[in-house]
Amino acid sequence: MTFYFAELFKEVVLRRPSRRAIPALDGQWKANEKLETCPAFARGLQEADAIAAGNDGLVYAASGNTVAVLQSDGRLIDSIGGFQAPITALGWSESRGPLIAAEGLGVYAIPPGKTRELLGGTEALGCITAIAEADDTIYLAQGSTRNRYADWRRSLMEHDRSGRILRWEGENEEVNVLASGLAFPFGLAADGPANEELVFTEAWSYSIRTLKLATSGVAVGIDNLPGYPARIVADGQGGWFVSFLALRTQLVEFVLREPKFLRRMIGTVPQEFWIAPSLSPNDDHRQPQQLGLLRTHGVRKPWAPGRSYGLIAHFDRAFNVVSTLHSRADGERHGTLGLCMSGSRLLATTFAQSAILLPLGGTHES
Amino acid sequence: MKPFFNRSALSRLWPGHMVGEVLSKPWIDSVVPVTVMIITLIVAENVAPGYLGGTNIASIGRQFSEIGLVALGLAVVVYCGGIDLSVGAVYAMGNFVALYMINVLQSPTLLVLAAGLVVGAAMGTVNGVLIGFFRNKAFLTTLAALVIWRAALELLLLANAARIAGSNIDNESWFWLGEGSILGVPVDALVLIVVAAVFHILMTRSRIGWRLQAVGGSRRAAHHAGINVRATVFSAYVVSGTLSALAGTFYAARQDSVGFDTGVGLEFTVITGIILGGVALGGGRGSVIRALVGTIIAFVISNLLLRQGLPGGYTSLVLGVILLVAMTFDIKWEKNRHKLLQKSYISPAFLLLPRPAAIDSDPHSPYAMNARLSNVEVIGLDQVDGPEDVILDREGRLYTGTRQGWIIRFSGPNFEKREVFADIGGRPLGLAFDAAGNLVTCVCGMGLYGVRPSGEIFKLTDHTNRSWFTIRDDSIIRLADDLDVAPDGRIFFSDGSTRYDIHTWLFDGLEARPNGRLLCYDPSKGTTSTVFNGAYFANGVCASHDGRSVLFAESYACVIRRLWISGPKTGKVEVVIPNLPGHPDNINRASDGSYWLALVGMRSAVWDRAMTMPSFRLRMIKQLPPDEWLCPNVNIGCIVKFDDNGNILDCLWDREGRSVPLVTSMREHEGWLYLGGLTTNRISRVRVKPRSDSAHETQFPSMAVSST
Repeated sequence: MTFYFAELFKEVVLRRPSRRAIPALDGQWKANEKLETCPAFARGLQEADAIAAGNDGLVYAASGNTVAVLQSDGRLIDSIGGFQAPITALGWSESRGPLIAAEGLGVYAIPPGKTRELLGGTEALGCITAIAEADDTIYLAQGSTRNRYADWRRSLMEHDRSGRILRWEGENEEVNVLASGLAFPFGLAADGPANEELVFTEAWSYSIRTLKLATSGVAVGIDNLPGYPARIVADGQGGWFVSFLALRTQLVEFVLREPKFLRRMIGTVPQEFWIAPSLSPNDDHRQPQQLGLLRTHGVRKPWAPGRSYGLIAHFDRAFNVVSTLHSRADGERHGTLGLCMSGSRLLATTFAQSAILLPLGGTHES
Repeated sequence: MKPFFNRSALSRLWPGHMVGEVLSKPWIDSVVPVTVMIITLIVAENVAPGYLGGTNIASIGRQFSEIGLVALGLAVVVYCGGIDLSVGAVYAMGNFVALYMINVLQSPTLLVLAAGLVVGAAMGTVNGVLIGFFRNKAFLTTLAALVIWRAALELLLLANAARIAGSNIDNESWFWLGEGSILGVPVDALVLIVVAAVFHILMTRSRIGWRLQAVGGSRRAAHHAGINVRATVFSAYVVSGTLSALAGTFYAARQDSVGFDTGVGLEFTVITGIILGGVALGGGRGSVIRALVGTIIAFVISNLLLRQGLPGGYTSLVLGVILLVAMTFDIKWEKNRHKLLQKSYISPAFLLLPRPAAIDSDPHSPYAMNARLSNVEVIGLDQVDGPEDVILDREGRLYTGTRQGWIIRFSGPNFEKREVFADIGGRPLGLAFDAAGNLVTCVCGMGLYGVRPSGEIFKLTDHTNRSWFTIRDDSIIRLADDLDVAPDGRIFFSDGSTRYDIHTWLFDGLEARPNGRLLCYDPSKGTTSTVFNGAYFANGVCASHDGRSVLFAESYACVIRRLWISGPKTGKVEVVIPNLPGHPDNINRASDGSYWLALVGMRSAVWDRAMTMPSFRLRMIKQLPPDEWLCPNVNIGCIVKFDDNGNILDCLWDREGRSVPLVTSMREHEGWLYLGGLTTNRISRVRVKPRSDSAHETQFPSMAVSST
């Protein structure tokens, strides 16, 4: 009862200090249809997530418990199966071939001409979200040590700060922690040949950060992004491409400030029906709805505060955004998770359509 | 174990919704001045015991009445967007004229009074012509007038003061004017009361009052509306001058003294008073009562200070400070009142919804998901905007209400002919045919209307009985939603919410208070009454097959109830379906003795959880823009068939949500089920019975007979 006047008092009289606003999609972030209309590289995968390109010209894409192997024209030629858990991250090593992280099982390599081998010391590592290699050293991003990769919503809603950046020491077969206490590092890339620092995204703090290898010092590259950054890859010219899991919405940010509600929601409601970002625009009747999302004349507004979204942003060396590619609330290509460069082409996976897109450098039509 | 004391549940009893309702009342502006006046009077009684006693009242009542008359005149000017600084000078001039005539000319009292009024009106006319017709600035014009009248008065006094003071008057009626009373009320107080009453009626109930307010609110808008702005402004100054001079005449009769300081500073006291009362300096806002209330405050304070023996300077000092504070408050109040209302109107309450039947996990559930609405025939695609309800007449023509306020009729073998059958306005929602073949419709924002087969529109009702203990006037039917005609001709219809309308009906769900009701219009008596109060958004209404009860849906409580309208249980309400998995909308009779029900949207676990956390919803409303608010899901719904005992017999889904984007109503006709939706652009139909076995929605025998 007292809450009523208390809230009124706080809001009208005290004028609470303004919270950090979600930046508007303006300037270089201005919404467009480029992702929605770009050509597709391959279709028909199941739950496409991580993706990596090898120097052998092949493209590896995670699809559930298997890895699909595609030719440079998008044709599926093989699939690497036999994993007992979902594939959460992929990478490529000159000497060890494709690197595959399976939930809770560790990181595997398939050296050219050899059979699959587990990288020693990575056993039982869960929630590996990204793998990067530089100067023959393998670096891993671990989103969370408390939650599985599939439970990323729980990690967000629990304000999970247990993510780590790891380095695999091949000689001793052990894993060293370079940074810890991170808010779900989702993507990881090495900074070119100089190899002085790593760049990683921290999804739940909406930021891109750098990690100095010499000192293990973490610095902010850019923060307060309008979405939850996922994978990051170097564009080959000093800049970066970053994929986004979804946009931040005011309702989710509000719920994150509501501990009591969060506790009850986490305790009683299945994850996919939480007030949380989503990877696909499906209108399940069990999902919470927002006023702006309601259809009128059977149409959803493209500017609606969607649960899911498709977004890839291109940053320059100093983390200024150069351009962005969008699939808006009324689109289908949502849940842009995987990102890799195959030569001069950018490949991106969308979870919602389970497709691999060719947002940039593509030649064939969708 | 459940806690015995549930704080959230208590929030239902907490009348938080009243805050917004009180704030939206027009009299809310008077609350602060009246409170201040009461406090002032209490303080006065304590500081000077006996201040509110009869003798003192009678004595200061005369003084106050003079100031009150001036305040009324000035209030009219300020209300009209102007200012009159010359009231004190006119008052003094009125005093002089009266004394000159009574003492020097020995005129009769009535003539003196008339002369006072004429002189006042003349001086007001000067102001009025300059400001109204020549459009001079009011402030400078009346300031100049103040200086000129004062100077003129000084010259007149120099010439005549001795003659006035030197003469003896023997005029009973003149003395009576200054000292007499009727039934214990001083004459001038009586005049003030009469003038105030007349002005109150004029300002609130007459054309001139509305014009004054319109001009005060916005001269330009008033001009565009066809109001003669100049004449209106002119008349306000004439009124002000006349009343000031009248007050001066009373002062003359009471004091019988001429002096240079008569009425000096009066304008300041009066301006302070009316601003204190909440007559806005910008114009367009205020009332007679408030002007007087503020003047009482200012008068009592200055009178008290004088009584306490403080030098006159203190009085001016205090009044000046009060004026500054009142002006600041007035500006802040005017600016923030609407914000406060906006922030406080929606007042969420606790609502516990039991866990509903799972839809997907259990294939044997009566609500199990299917795709039976995925292949529908579409009628009038993009030719209708929001066909909330649909109905067919005996000739198989299809009617629906749209957002434009039209009733659209489709006819022809494939419904290809579209025509506007009636243009009612408002937002037509529920539809039904009465025994005479008239189309009766619930028009949101207007009430219950009928359309004859010829297309002629007639009103059935637009109000019901006023409840005793509501702040908001609930005799208005804000959200007439759905209706059905009982066999005896009575029309039962729902009023979704007494607090929200068609644009904000989803907010009512967010608030989760029982704001809706079921109404009954009796055509034989022409009366409307509330038959069930306290529904969580009363929606679909349907008379039962036996005609002895009426079924109605409560959208946000997710229940179907039954109201008995004849037989031994008449007036009793019982629950038919207690815990629907979605929000029920319209109900209609099916041809096989059961009922169709549209679920406009499905509940989500998060929504149900949020319903039990009113403070969470309140913070959400305050912190987020409406587009971001969590709201009832009305994107995916289904059609349910149930029997008289509330058993679910069947369920029709559009799994993809593409062919039937939203469904709020359905009507069975010759084996087809016609579907409408509040925000869709089409009517759909789906076959529910083989061609051979087709039938109408069952009509009552009495109606079938009388309509032939």
